[in-house]
Amino acid sequence: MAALQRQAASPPDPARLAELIVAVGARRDRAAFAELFAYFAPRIKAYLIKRGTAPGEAEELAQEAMIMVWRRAATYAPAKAGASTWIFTIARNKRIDALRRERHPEYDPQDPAVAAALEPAAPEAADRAAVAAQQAERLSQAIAALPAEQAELVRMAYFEDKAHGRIAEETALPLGTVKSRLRLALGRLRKAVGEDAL
Amino acid sequence: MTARLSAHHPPAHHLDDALLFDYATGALGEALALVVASHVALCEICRGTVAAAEAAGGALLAEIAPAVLAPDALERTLARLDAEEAAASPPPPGAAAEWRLPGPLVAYLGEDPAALDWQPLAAGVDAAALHPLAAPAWPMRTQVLLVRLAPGAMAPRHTHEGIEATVILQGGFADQFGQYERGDAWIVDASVTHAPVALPDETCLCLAYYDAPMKAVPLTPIVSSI
Repeated sequence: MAALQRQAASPPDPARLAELIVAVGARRDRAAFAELFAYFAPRIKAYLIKRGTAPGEAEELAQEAMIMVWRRAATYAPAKAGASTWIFTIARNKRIDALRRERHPEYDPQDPAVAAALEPAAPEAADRAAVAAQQAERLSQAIAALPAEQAELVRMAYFEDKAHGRIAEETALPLGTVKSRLRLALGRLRKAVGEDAL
Repeated sequence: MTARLSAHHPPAHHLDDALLFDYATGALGEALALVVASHVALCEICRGTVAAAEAAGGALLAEIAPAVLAPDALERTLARLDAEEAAASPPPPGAAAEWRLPGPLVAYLGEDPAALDWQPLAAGVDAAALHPLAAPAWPMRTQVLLVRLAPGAMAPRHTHEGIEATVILQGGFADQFGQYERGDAWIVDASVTHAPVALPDETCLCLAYYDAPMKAVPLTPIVSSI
């Protein structure tokens, strides 16, 4: 356990996390899963608690989310999403499933119904992990650098389960202001991720 | 059909960034999220916007102060993995693949969309309701319809009490605002009355979401009975 805690204290780099998911998907690698668990399970639990889930249930759901990680790891495409991003979508969907008893319809970046001509050429496999790592780094910096008024709304949107309309009600800001601030924030984050990678 | 496919262009009509953002954070209800996901599957531009918003979620998840887990959390999870079967394989592409439906929708339609309960709406126009298939049920007044228009057919003139969100899955149609083709999506509110007409050379299939029932608005007869 001590080793795991040390690992959690110094965050592994995003490329390493992506490799771990690939290892779970390709080889059912339990050591890789344990390392992912040490890093992500406490964060998923924290995310769920922030969004209003009771701690006991958050614990249970975090474990279930990690089981989804195990089941879905083979579908993870490192070129399409960073490890944290992919696991965020799993945690988000697990929460919707548990709390609203609803599904979250998912698009597949490699949807066979989508004309191949519309897909950008994928970068070489060797470059993908490096690109994902750089994106995650730039994105973290961009979030840290958001003006306070935008950062507050972004956190409300992600951690308090509030659509634009409810954020407007609670902050007593006009809906148009909420929309434009979130749009500005999204624009900055999008720039940080890099248009070429999207 | 194949002639049009080769001429396919990227969608020209997109969903609002606010809606894409709410989809990414998980704030949308399932029915509207289904329409958003169907558009996003067909639209590279909106996929980029959603990917950025999801990446922001990922970055926030990475930064969050971790919660303390139960001491046996990992052991218990590993024990549950022992009971796991191999990862469930995706559903085999059946008849649904021939319709070239976006993935998010296939999960709701089963193997063969033609076997859905298609009800005639007007000459050359029929619709299959997806909301009765939702389990658990969607909110009371929510309706999600697959609407099929024969080439050149006109949908009944209608308006809505709430919003209508539509994405074109195949073919295209035109109304007073413009022309829409595969992948195009848009939202109109109660102020809009329209009677879309399918483009002439292909069956048009679209997915429409209503948060309140649509209302037929018959045209005022041109020759009035004065």
